[in-house]
Amino acid sequence: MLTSIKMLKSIIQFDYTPEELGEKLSMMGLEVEGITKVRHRFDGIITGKVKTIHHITDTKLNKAIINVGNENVQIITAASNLKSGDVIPVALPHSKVVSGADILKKDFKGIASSGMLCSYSELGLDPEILSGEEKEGILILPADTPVGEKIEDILPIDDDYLELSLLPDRADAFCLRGVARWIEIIKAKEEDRWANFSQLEEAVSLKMEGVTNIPIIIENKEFCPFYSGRFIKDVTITASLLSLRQKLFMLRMRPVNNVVDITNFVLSFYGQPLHAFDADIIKGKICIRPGKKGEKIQTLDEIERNLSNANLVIADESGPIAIAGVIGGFKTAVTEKTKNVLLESAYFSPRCVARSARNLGIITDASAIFERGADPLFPSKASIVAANLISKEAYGIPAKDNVVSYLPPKNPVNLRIARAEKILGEKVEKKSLRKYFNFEGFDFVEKEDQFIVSALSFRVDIKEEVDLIEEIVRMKGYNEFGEALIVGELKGAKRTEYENFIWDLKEKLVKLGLDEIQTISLVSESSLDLVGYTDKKKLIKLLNPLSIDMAFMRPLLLPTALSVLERNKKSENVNVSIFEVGKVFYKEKLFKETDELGILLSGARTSKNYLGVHFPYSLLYLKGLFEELFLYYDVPVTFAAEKFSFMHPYQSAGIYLKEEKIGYLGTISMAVLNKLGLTDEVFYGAINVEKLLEHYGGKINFETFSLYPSVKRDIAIIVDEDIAEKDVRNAILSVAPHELQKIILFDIYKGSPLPPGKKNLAYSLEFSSVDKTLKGEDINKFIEILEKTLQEKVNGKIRKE
Amino acid sequence: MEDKIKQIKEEFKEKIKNKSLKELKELEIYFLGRKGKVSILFQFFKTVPKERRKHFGAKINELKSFIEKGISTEIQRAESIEASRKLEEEKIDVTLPGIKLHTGGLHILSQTISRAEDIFLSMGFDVMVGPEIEEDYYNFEALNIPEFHPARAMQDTFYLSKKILLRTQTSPIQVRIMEKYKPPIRIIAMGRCYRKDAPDSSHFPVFHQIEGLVIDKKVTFANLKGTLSLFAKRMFGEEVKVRFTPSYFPFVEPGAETSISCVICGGKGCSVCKNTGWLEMGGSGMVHPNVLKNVGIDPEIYQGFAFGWGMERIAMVKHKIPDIRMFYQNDLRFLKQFKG
Ligand SMILES: [Zn+2]
Repeated sequence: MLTSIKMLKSIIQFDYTPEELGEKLSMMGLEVEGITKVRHRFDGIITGKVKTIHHITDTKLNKAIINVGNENVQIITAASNLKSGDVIPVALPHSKVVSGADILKKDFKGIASSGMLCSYSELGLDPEILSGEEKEGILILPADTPVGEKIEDILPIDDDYLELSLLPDRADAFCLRGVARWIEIIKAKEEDRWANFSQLEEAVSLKMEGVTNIPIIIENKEFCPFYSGRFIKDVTITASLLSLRQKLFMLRMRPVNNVVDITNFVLSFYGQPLHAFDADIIKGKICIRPGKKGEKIQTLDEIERNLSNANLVIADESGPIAIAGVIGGFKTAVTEKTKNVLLESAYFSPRCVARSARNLGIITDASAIFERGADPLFPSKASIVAANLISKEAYGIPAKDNVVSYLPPKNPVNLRIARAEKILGEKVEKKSLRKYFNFEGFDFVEKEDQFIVSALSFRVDIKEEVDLIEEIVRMKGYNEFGEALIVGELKGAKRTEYENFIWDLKEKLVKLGLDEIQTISLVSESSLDLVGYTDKKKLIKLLNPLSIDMAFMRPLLLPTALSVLERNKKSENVNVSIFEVGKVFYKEKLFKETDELGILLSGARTSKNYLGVHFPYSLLYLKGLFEELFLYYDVPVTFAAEKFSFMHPYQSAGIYLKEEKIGYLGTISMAVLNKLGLTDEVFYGAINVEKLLEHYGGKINFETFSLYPSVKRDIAIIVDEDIAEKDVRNAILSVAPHELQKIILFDIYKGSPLPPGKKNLAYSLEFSSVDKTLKGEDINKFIEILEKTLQEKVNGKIRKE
Repeated sequence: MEDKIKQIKEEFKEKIKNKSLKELKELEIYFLGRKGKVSILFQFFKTVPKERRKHFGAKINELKSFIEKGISTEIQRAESIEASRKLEEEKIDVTLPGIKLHTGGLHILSQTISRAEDIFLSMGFDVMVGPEIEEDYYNFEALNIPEFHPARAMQDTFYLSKKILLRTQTSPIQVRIMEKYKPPIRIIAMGRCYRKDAPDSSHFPVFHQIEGLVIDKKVTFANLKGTLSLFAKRMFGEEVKVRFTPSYFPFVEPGAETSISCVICGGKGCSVCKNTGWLEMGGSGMVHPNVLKNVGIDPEIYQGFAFGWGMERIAMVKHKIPDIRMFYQNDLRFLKQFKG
C-alpha cells in the first residue's frame, strides 16, 4: 500500500523525514518496504478551459480555442474527447513535457497551433489512478478547477509515498487515518504522554430528513452482526469536484463519480468499506443471507459469478445484489442516471469475508480489510461521514439510517504481571505498564498483580493476555530486551539415525569424486515423457501448479539430472559426474515420498591433457561406483541385465537386493540424448536409499588379515561368448578355498587364435592363509577341481600355455 | 727396472686424465689386467738380483696401489658425472600444469545446512526432519492458522488435494514433535519447503528452512534473542549483530522479524541491504499458547520460542550469492566455487 506523506501531514503534524518515519514505523511493526518519491518532470504546463472546438474538414484534426487565464490561444489537436467547458492541461510554447520534448509553435496546413493539449502520459501520471476516459484521451480535470494555474499546483503530483507492507492482523493500518494513529503513538512515546486519537476524527453533524424505509433482515448474525442502510434522495451524479479529486489522487484511488468516489474515500481514509446502491433498482426488503447454489450475480467488474453458501450476500426480493464485504453488483451500481441512493455501512466477520473471497478467487480493498478485522464500532460513524459528503458534493438529502445490530460487547483483557515477567524473562514494572498503555491510548484498571485493559475498538488484534505481552515488547522496544542463553538439563544432542546415514552417504559419494546437485522436485509431464515414464497412475499432480513446467512431483531423479547435464554441456562443462540424494514422490492410495540416489556420468575423470592421459567414464565405471558403495555398506546386491525405455537395450541392468529390485543403471539411449541435443555418452544409475539403510548393519568390526606372504595365480578361462562373466565368477567362487582373498578380472579377449564364438577371461587369483605360508601344491589341488566345475557349469576350459 | 716403473707411472698419469667410465675400465685392464703393464713387471722380477728384489717388489706394489687408487678415484668421479648427466636428461619442466583428476564436492546448500546443524547440535538442539507432503492440519491449523486466515495468503501453497499440501515451512515438524515428546524440547527442524512463488532472483518455488523450537518451564524472550544472536555470530562472524522488529506470525506472540547487520557493508548501507544496514533473515517469537494447547501442552506451565530462517538466504548472505536460482541450476562453474 502506498501512503502519501502529504496527506498524512494534512491530518497529523510531524517533523520526521520520510526515511525517519519509515524507520520508526518499521521498528513499531508497521513495515515500510521503501519510499517512492514522485516529482513532476514537466515544466510550464498550465490549466486551460475549452471555449470552442471545431472539426477541421478533410482532416482528423480539431481546432480548439482555449482560455488560459489572461488570454485565449488557438491549438490544433487530434483528440476527440473534448467539449467546450472542459478544463484540460495545456503545454504552451517553450514548455516541456515528460518526454523532454520542447513544445514549439507549429503550423498544420497553414493553421497555427500555439502549443498542445496533454494526456496523462505527457504529464507522467500513473494510469492506475485515472478513470478510463482520462487514460484514453486528453486529461479532463474537475469542472471547478481554476484556469491558468500550474498543473503541479492543481494535482498533488509532488509527494513522497511510504510503501507499507500489510499486516495480516492489523486492518487498522490499511487506511490513512490508521497510519496517522501509528504516528500518534510514536509521538506519544517520544513525548511521554497519552495518545490522543480523537484529534484524528472530524466531528460531523448530519442534517437528516425522514427515515430509511427499506426493511433489513440479517439471517446470519455471526457473520454480519451490524448493518446500517441509509436512504439518500435526490442525488446529482457527476464527476467529483477538485478538492475530493485531489484527495483521491493522494489516496491513489481511481475516480468514478462523486458518490462512488466518496465511498472510496471513506474506505481509504477511515478504513471502512461502504457500498452505495441505486435505491430505485432495489426490490422490496434487504436480506443478508448465505448465497444459494445456482444463484448468480454480475459484479461491478461485469463478471458473472456463481454463488454458493460459502458466500454471504446482500439480496433483495429479486436475488443477490452484492457479495457481502467483497464486491457490489453491477445491476444496482450507482450511475449518472441514479436519483436515490442506499448507503450500506456494515461489519462483516473476518471468516465470513475470507471464505467468500477465497471461494470466488478475488481480493478487493474491502475484502482485505474485513478479513483482517475491521473496526466493529465504526460503521455508524462512517455512514454519517459519507452521507455528509454526499449531501455536500452530490446535493443528496440523507434520511436517518435503518440499523440492525447484534454486536456483542467487547470484553477487557487481563494481564497478569507475573505471567508477563515469566515470558519476557525480566522484571515488568507497573509504572512502565501504565506508560505503555497510555502511549497506545488504552483504558485500564489496575489490580494488585494485574492490569485489566480495554483496547480501542479498532485493535481487534488484542484478544488475550499474550497479545498484551506483545504490546509491552513493542512499546518498550524489541531491542531493549537483554539476551540470555538457554539454561537446562544437559543432554547429548543428535541427528536422527536416518539423517546421519544420508550425510554419510553424501560424503562417501563426494570421496568417490562426484559433485552433489540439488534440483527442483517439481517437473513437467514432457520431461517425464522424454525418459519414457509410463506409470502415470502413480504420478502426483499439483492441483494448482505455478506452470506446466512444474506441474508434477518428480517420481524419479533422472529428468532433472538430465537437465543439469544439458545445462552444463551448454556451458562447456564437458566432464560431468554428479549425484543427487533427494525425495521422489508417488501415489499408492496415499501420497508417498522416499529418498532416491541418482548418479550421472558423462565425459571423463580427467580433463584433456598434454600427456594424453584419458580416463573416460563408462558404464562399468558407474557400476564400479555402485559396487564400492554396496561394499562400503556391506549390502549384498546383484546386477541382472534388464531393459529400460530410456536405456541402451544391451547396456542396462536392474540392481537387486535379495529378490527385491532397489535400483537400476545403464547407458542412456541415443534416442533420449538426441532429443536433448546431447552427443556424448551418458551413464546413469539410481537406487532407493531407504532400502540401502534397511539392510545396512551399521557396524564395522575388525577382521584379521594374513601376515604370511600371499600366493598369486593367473588363470585364463575359455568360454562361449554369450556366457555372463558373473556365472564364470560364481563357478570359481563355488569351489574356491577360504584362502582365496581376491579375484580380479584383468583381461577379456576374443578373436584369433581362439575359435569363433569363444572368449578368453583372464583372472588373477590371490590366496593367503592366516596361519601358514601357502605352497604351490595347495593351489594346484583347487585348480584341478575348478577345471571340472567350469566344464560342468559354464562349459569352460582353463587355457594352458 | 727403475726406469720402467717410472715410465709406467708417467704413462698412467698421462692417460688417466679426463677419461670416461668406459675408458677407465679399459685403462684398468691395460695397467692392472692379467697381461697389463704392471703384471708384466712382475715377469721381469726373475731377472732382478735377489738382494734388490725386495726393494723392487715394494716399488711395484707401490706403483700398483698408486694406479688402483688413481683409477678408483677417477671412476668415482666419472660415475658421479655420469649420474648427474643422466638426471639432467630426466629433467621435467616443473612449470608444466599437473594432471587434473576430477574430485567431488557437496552442494553449497548442503554445506550450509550441515554447518547450521552443527552449530545447533553444539547448543544442544536435536536435528529433526519430517515429510514434505503434509496435512493441512500440521502445516496450518495446528499452528494457529485456521482455514481462510489471511496469513495463508502470505504463503501461497501448492495443494495435492483439499487437505494435503506441500509444506510451506518446516514448522509442521514442530507440531509432530510436540505431539510425540514431552517438554523439555530443544530441536531444529530442517528441510525442503514449497511456496507458489514465481522464480526470480530472490524467490524459488522450492527452498530449505531451518526451524527452531525450544519448550521448557522457563524459556524466555531473552533466550530467543540470545540463541539467535549466538547462531548468527557462529554462522556469519563475531561482529554480526541481530536485530528484532515487531512482526506477525500466527503461531508466535510476541512475534518478530529477525535481521542481521549487513555482512557486506558492515551496517553502513549498500545495495544488498537496500541502504538499511540490515538483512532480513526470517521470523521468530514466543510460541503462541494456542499452539501449545493444540498439542496438549499446558501453556500455564510450559512456554518457549520458535524461529524459522531460510537456508538459501543464509548461504546467499554468507557467500554473496546474488541469485537464488543458481542453487538449482547446478552449473559446475557455480558448484565448484564452494569446495567442501
Ligand atoms: Zn549493506
